[in-house]
Amino acid sequence: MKKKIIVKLDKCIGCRSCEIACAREHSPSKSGERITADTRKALSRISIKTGLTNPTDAPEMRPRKGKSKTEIATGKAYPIRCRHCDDPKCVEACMSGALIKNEEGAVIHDPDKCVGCWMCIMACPYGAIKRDLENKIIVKCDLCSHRDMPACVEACKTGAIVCIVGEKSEQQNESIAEGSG
Amino acid sequence: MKVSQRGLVEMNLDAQYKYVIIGNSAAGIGCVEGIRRVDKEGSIAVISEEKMHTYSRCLTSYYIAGVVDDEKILFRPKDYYEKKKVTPILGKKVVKIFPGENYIVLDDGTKIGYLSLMIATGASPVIYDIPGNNKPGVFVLRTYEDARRISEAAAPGKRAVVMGGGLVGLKSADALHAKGVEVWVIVTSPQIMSQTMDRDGAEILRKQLEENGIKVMTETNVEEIIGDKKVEAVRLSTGQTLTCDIVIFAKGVRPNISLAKDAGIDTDYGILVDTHMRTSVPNIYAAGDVAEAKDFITGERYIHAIWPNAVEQGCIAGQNMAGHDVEYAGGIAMNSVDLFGLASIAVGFTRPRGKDHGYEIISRSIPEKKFYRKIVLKDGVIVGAICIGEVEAAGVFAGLIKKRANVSRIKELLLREDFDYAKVLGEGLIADTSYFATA
Repeated sequence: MKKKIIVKLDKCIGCRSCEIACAREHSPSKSGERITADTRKALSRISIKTGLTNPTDAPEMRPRKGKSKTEIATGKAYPIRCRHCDDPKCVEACMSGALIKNEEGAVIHDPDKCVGCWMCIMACPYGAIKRDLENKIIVKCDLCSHRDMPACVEACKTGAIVCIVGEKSEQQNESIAEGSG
Repeated sequence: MKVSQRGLVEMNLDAQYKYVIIGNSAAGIGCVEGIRRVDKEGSIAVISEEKMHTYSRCLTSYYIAGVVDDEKILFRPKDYYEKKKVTPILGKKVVKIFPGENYIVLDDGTKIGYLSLMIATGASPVIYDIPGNNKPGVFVLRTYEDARRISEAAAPGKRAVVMGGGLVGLKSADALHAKGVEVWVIVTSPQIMSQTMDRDGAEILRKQLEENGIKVMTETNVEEIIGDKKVEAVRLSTGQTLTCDIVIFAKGVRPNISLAKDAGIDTDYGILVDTHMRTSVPNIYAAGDVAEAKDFITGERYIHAIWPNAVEQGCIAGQNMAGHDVEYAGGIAMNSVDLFGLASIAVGFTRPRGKDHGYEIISRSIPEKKFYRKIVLKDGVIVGAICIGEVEAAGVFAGLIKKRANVSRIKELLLREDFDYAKVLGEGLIADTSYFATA
């Protein structure tokens, strides 16, 4: 089934529940914790990033104390994640063949083929791909292909992250499945 | 369009395909995928001199280092041709194209007809004319076979001289070093990566190489390769002699245009193509390292011989060959290299020189973090960007280049370590309604 996630910006308050849910879902134990047998760190595929000013009336995000790299960012929250483009630049740039667009329209990453060349990062205009420095590969949204409702959508308490399911996923008026607000 | 049986009889052809693709790498595979977006059934033949299933040339250095094997170097799965309904004709060289008669001839005499033809013959490494350049122990790195040969020669305790400080040179040096080989990189220019990186960025990368045990000599040439039966040493322009077992020529590539040129197709440095990737012959297309196509920034024809452009051009050509009308917006330079854990990406036009006017350059360097960023602007629009250390925003810069967005308003933000797509949206530079819906 084709899935598409869109974001209702005015509803996002930057609570970061989506990040936690995503990291947990993609951690080996699904608990978000590191387990000894598998050293993969729990990394979220979705990131709450902040615009510096607030052009709309949307809720503003609180300063992230000591969280940002050097400077503390404030401003409107934007959930940034892979949108599984129709003409994905990352797939075009992927020289190892690790990224492919599958028949369901999802851009899927094969960690075993990835060599960490960062060509996809260079090509993605949305900055939606992250580096997993520990394993020298990238991580990106897989639309939670192993479950019906993507973890970020399920975790979104305000209904900002919405999953559209249907054959013609471009049309928003099809069945809209919202998270457990 | 239907493949007629007429050609087979009249031209005495051995086979005929709707689409014939010469080349089995990035542009060739991009072309297959472009065709199949439009035409799921039309017959396709992919012809390559190399016997190997489609693999990634960019992974050849990883192969030498032992990071990828015969399996992992493959660019597409083993059942790819079958799944895409492609006839692979591998280990055969195309020796002639007959544009008027719409057929090609292979080195074994086989005549193959086509309705449309893709020339994706790529480029070949240049071997400079210096004494001793044909001794055993002298290599180039382009193909899987090259990588296999270098890999066999590379062993702990050996010494290698890499000629050239571009991407291929540095990736070869990195790979040989990983195999325990002592490596010297000899560069003619005053800096490494003179084609893709500015001087300050190159200095950071040079330090990174040297800190990790790769020796770099700039403004130096190899003048002679010395040895009785095989490579034993090189003589440098400084007069110095370096003992070594391996020499790698990584001094750039030259497009393989002779096939097209002999067929009367318009060529200059590369094969000239229009914005539909069409050559001077309407049903013959070219893409990748061999094609001189539109440059996004200048609008002139140029060859950015890089993987992503080859795939994109191939894909656009393929769609056009299958009857769609897709235009190429033009390519930009784009390079990414990770040296001993230090990532660096350069996109677009990053090195305006004295003769280039009207450019504004802003940059920021944090040496202790090995962070470096430089943005080149023209009339408020980003035309080039370099990111070292923090590279996550590199794609956002590439996107802004391609959108020709005026970033004057957010200029100071561009150099922040935490610059990202949200800053672009937050400042209302781009309205991104396909993903960010309004209620």
